[in-house]
Amino acid sequence: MNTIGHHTCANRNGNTYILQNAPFPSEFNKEANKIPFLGGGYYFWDTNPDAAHFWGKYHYKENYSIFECVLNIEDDKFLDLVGSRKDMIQLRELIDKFSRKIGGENLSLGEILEYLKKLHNLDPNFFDVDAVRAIDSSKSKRNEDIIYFNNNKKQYTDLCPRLIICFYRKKTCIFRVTKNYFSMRE
Amino acid sequence: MANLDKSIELADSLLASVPDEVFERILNEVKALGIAGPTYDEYLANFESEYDGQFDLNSGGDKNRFEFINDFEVAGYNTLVVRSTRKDAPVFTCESDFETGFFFDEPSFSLAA
Repeated sequence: MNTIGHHTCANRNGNTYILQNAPFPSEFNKEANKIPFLGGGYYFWDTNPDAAHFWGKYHYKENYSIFECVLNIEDDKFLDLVGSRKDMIQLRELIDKFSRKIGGENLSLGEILEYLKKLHNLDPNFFDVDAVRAIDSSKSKRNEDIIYFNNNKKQYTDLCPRLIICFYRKKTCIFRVTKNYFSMRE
Repeated sequence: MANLDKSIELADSLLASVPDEVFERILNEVKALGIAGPTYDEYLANFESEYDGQFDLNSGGDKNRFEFINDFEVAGYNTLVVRSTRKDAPVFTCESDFETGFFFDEPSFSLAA
């Protein structure tokens, strides 16, 4: 699967450093309340410079860089919770299978994916996944992105979903840089 | 599309062959990552706002909430915690881009201890 990825990072250490070292990992940090949605890894917005700029303004107080690149993801190691019903169903099936071991813990999606990644360490053929894609939904999403199928009905679709892609290993982010934006806080 | 067929096949053999203590260790490791975020007590201990006590969230519903958002426009891109004047009243927390009114996270409510 090929797509354009946008990775936002702090505008630190200069352009050359960022081009040589991006993408940068997102990791768990309880004290800072940092909670990677799909577990620890290297995050991209799927073809969404607007979301990347928003994240830069919000998270890096407008002092940020956006790394735009082509992502090539090996299909059979790509857990696609956006475009593959089969992947969604099978992930649910895996969660159900291990629910007895997880017990009454109310695990988030990020925790479940971390759990499966740790089981992969026991058997490398289990959950052999390099990257995950999901929709970052919010009930407070702007209405302008929504278009109704029939103006007399409640059903609609969203023409601008925020899609996030997380790679679990940097070496599997096969990419070539296409553009690098910078925004420096004045 | 991921190839999870193999994973589903292997799940039963993992469940049968891996000792319970290994599953328990893995679960504890995952929980230790802190994905669930701070507890309510930790939240109160770590977040303070100069706006504490300025809003009484018991006085209205959604309308009150939107007045609160506008009043906080000067705060910029921050995590906001508002405590109402009553100790047992809900605490409102949100993260928002005030230029667009676009929430980064869902506003969350919790009850004071």
